[in-house]
Amino acid sequence: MMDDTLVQLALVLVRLGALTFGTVGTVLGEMERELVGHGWLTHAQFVEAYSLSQLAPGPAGTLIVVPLGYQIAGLAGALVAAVAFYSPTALFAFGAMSLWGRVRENRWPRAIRQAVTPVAIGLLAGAVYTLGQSTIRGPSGLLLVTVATLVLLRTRVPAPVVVLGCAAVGMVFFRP
Amino acid sequence: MVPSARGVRLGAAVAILAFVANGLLGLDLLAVLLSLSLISLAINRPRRSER
Repeated sequence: MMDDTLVQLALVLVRLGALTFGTVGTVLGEMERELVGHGWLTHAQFVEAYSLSQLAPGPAGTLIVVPLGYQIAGLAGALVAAVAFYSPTALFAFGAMSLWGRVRENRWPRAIRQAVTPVAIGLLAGAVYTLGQSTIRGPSGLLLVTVATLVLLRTRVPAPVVVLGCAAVGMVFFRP
Repeated sequence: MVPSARGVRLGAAVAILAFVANGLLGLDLLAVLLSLSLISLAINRPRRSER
């Protein structure tokens, strides 16, 4: 049973890892739908894992698959999730980067990079919408999201500080 | 990081389509990524006059 879960988790994350462009945010909405859809996590657990990953060192949000895998299948789940998600990108980078370095400024590679960028931006917005649907409850939640977004856009306050600040506000004002 | 989309022809329209398809409609990520990337590439293909 657990082995079956690990195999399915690996298959889901290999696919998502291979489709990630620029940032893990582009596949976040799909990841939420897949993991919650399999019944492995609730919406709240997914968002908690994402928030935790924002506090971790390294590129923002990149480590999300580790707490997600841990919540789904313990330590084995965390290991499987990390290997499955990062392997496609690592293998691609290993195999293709030397070639890409030589051709990246040619016309077609540059056009492909430019063409995919707006798609990635739309997918990021879609992920924000998907996560927001399950987490923003009422005007107070919307206000907190708006303030956090403005702080991130207009200032140089690091994302972990914003997450911790929002957590503190939530603890004070949104207690059940 | 996702690079800037400034200067991409019809970039805003493609981004909105990606948002609607994957975010609002929940269509398959691979299908959305492939179809819209190809459409965007067709719109932004290099012209003969470009270097």
